Amino acid sequence: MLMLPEIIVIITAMTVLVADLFLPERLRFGVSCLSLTGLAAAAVAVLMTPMNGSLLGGQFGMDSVAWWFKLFFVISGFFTVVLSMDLLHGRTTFRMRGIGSPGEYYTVLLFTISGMMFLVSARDMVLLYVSLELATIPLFALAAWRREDARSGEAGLKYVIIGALASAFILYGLGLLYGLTGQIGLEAARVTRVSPAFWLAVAMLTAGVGFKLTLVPFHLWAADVFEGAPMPITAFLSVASKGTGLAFMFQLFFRNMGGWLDDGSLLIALFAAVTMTLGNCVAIVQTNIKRFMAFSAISHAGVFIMGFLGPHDYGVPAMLFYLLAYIASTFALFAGIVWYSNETGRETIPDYRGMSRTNPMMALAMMLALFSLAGIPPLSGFVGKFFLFSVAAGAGYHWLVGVAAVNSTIALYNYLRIVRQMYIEPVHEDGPAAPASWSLSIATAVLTVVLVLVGIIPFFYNAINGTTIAWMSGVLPH
Amino acid sequence: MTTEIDIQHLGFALRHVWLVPAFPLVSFVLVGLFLRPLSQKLCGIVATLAVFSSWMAACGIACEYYTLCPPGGEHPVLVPWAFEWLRYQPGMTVNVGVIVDPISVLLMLVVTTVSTLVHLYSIGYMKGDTGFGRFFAYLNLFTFSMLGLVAAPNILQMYVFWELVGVSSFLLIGFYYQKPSAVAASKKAFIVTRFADLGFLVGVLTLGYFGYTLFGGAAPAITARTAAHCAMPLQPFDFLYLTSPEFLARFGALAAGSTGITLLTVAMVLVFMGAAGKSAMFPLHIWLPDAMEGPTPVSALIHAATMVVAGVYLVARMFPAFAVSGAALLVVAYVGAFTSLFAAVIGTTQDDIKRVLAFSTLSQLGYMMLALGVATMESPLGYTASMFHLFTHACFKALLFLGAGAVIHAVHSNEIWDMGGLRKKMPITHFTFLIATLAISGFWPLSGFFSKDEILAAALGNGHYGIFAVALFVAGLTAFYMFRIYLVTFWGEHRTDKASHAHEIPAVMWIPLAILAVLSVVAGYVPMAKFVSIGAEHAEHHGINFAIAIPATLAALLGTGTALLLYTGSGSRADAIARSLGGVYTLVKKKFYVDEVYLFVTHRLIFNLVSRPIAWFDRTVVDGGVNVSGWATRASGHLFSWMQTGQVQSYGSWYAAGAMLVLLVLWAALI
Amino acid sequence: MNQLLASIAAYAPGLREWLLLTSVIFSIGLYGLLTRRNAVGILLAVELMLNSAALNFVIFNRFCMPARIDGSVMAIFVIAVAAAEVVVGMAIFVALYRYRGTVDVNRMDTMKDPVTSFEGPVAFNKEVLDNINKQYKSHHDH
Repeated sequence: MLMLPEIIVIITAMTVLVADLFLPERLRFGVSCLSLTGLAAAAVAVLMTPMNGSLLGGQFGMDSVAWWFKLFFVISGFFTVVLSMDLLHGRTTFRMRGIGSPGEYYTVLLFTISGMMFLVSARDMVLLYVSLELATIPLFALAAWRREDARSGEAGLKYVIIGALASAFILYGLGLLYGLTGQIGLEAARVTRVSPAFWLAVAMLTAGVGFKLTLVPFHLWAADVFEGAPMPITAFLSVASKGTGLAFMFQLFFRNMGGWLDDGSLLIALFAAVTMTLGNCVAIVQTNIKRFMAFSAISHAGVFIMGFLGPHDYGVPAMLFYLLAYIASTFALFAGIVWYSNETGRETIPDYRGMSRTNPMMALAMMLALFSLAGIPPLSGFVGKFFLFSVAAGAGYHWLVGVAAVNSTIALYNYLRIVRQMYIEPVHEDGPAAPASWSLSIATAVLTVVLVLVGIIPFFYNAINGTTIAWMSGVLPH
Repeated sequence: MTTEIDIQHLGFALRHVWLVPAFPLVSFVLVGLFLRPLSQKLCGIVATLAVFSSWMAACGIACEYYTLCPPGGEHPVLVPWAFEWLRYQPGMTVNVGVIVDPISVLLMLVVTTVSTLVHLYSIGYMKGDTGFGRFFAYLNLFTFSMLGLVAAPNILQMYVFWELVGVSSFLLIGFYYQKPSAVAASKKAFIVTRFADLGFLVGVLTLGYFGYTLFGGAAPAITARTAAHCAMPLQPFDFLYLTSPEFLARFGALAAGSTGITLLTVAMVLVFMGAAGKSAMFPLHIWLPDAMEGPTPVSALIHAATMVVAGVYLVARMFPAFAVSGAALLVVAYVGAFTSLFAAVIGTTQDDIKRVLAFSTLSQLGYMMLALGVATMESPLGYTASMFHLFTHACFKALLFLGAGAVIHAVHSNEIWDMGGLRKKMPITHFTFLIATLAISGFWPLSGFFSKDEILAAALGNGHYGIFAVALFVAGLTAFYMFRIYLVTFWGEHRTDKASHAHEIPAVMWIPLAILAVLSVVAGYVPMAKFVSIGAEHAEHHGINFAIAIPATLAALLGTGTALLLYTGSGSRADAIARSLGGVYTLVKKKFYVDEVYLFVTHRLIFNLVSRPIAWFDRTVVDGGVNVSGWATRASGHLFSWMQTGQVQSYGSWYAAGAMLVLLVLWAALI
Repeated sequence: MNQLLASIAAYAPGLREWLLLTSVIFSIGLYGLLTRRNAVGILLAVELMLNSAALNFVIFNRFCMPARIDGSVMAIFVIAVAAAEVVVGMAIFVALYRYRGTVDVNRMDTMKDPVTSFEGPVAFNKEVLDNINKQYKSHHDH
């Protein structure tokens, strides 16, 4: 059954909502376990799903790229739940008020994930648009989750306004594409005629993709929303939301407008260069770690879209591989950040000073994650960047590789700012009192091992390559 | 006779060759990260057991390999396990794997054996040291790196591990980082070997470049006959490819410019530069004596038995390429011979027991190099002899170092003149040290006799009479300086209080000594030619060749006799001779002022003439530029953060403007 | 006059005119979104934009492929999605109103990048250079 993973996620969401109502207070923790179980089952279901086939008369399709995207979405959801558990069940030293009931939180989160999973399987504009909104609208609510925090509400307001604006742009662009081709299906509607109306459609869809992917200048909402959202949601936004943007971009620019992608690659290269440069530069002046991570995510968006420059049968696997590395590294880093904020409620970069002495293991994991994000060999982030850069070079964009290399230096400076605080500065006089909970510790350990292994062991890259390259070269328009 | 080997159906040990380096790696992570704060004893035991497991795995590999290809027959190269690591483009992939052939099996055995014994010994030697856990973690890291180096089936993997052993050597030399001399020595070792590795890297890249381009990117096709023995298709960096006759025939025909020297020679001399750095050949030898600042077990493991022979191993691995470029092989032979003489002469005058042993190591490494240098593909006796000497030397030199460590442990001094009369206080140490001394001096029936004789026979057999004479002379010198320190340390009267209060070492330390002593005695009876050989013809060297054994033994006896004459009874006779030699003695004692020459060249000449102008340029122009670019980056951060006004409608305006801009760009580009 | 009225009554707007209408509605919505200070007004503007886009689908369906109903189906879905979007938005605004007492978007700027002073390249350069020279000097004095 091709749709089994989505069905499992949705059933879990419903069950969690009901269980939250009926479970007594002391058993409320079962809600978290239920969500984790559901997501783990969904991951298994994804693994068992075949890599091709279609349902509903071709509206819902499956291929190897969608398969990997779904797996990554489920994994991100799983780790977001792990990161949220302590906060939602009040197992923290720093009491955060207005966090609400865990069941509702998980339900909303699970619906987002199901939306993302439908998005990559969509084969016509109706499902594409509806699932994109299903993936986005719950995030508005999650960003505004802390009811007694003005910043959270403000984040929700900004997110919802820019999100609605982007949604309108996307819809308008899709409408124009529909009018130009007369097809609602994505694969049938390969555009061949190039006209000003088509360019308008491309411009509007680029703006829509740019909102999800935080491409410059569609990125401005990101920093404020990241800062206001609860910490685990910040992690989810910087990973899964990015993945959704990539999936959406893949669906639109590859599946729907594949023939145009080669003509438009200069535009993508420009976006990549501007996005990574601006993201890295503005990250320099940030002191709040959430805002910092927002700009880190923005600059990574610029790296990710290099995968669309083509040769596409190598570009998309490289992008998927970097997504895996990015998921592992970002969640490993956020595990430390979530723990710190849970214990102290503070979230500026200088607060992390001296962490290598008070909590060496967490500091080590965070350092490895930061190094991986900065792209230091042999960690996974380096390998992923290497493949993406070589895709750009293969497409002839050598200047872009140069820009990306300069950006890597700036990024390294940025990430080393945190490492410096942790390893060189004197110990914070009022650091976290309690060590990380077992759930966070296990997640951190697993993620750290993964982020190291993905870089060293070629298994993951070979697996992604082996399953996608053949399919990609089969569907490439010639 | 060709052996048919099916790579898919091998025994357990050969299918799981990766176990050999895996054990120390796992133990390094365990000890380094988790066990270090828990318990010293646990660290020592886990680390030792891990290396012991490696040793068992290596034994398994040796048994299975020689069952598959019996001694005396042909010994094909196997790569039973490999995976793709970096793919640059099709036909240019770097794999990671494990190579199994006679020399890698030999080296794996030597490394794991010595490493196990040194680990065991260190449990006693390092007892109570605050850095106990750190020490074992480093030792494991070194063992892992060395095994990875030995197992490398391609030159790039070897280069990676080559640097890793360099790093672990650096860490271990500077183990007592509170001591300025240790820090200086570690820096010196690192810089000198790095300098040499630069040449190696250029050599590697040259080989890789031509390996890929000479056959138009279709490189792997030419080596189909060996492909059956490899888990992965051959790639340009693979040793099997680089040493294949097809590649060498084409590459050897390329001349470097109009100099008349072939590119192959240039590449091989560059590779040899790396080998010379690691194996401390003249003039890159200066780091090894200083490296004795590390703990003595480290000297035994790294700077006597294993890491320093990596250079010899590299030359042996690339031997067919050296052989095709005769000139590069001659360089190896002459550098080896000169180093062996030079170091032996210096060794006669040093007073620090570890330094004498260090110079002795230099001299013996020179011996191995010259043995390789005199070999050819047609009469490869020197090749076998070199590996044979590597094997026996590892046993007796590790034994000597561990014995010296025991003495130093007891006397708390490195100076031989602080010791004396220890033979009664430390009978086991004395006895094993004597065995090792006899072995290195080349007395029948100990192991050094056989391997040294083979080297001499190889030099004579291939008509290198000059080198033969030098080697013979060095044999005499070796016997002299070894008996000098043996006599001064163990005979005569106690010269200091500490020497008179010395006592025997604990069992955990003397058991390794005893094992190594047994090995030093019996290692010579291994019919090495049957196990290790190269080329079609087998190096046949049966029994003892009296034409060589007699002069060699005479030389050793002469050296021993002189030592006995000078250093028994009062030291006045030696002093008298030293005085009569005057300036020459001082010259030798100061190690021919090589260090001072280096200092002069680097500090006076390079610093003043090159570094200072560059430093000025760097500080004003380059730093200025860097600072300005750093400032510009930060400024742009400030500039663009101005967009983050917090006003959602300004964000919306940027959004709409961005979409408009995209439209304009498309319009402009596509109209 | 009658003729004029008749011509107006007989006037059948074509694809071009309809598209013009939707683009005007879209632009009005965009203008409203960027200028209204009340968040609820912004939601109204969003409705305009989304509905103009939905209208596009219906128009294209009617004029380009009248035999099928793809575009109209899409429009139905868009209406539902737009409703969901507005509901979540309103919920957030209500929560915010209870806490802040206003939904004026101009006042929603507690989170932003602070404007800080920043010195020119020469001062930065000089400080760093002095530091380096001091270290260099102290290193070579020994």
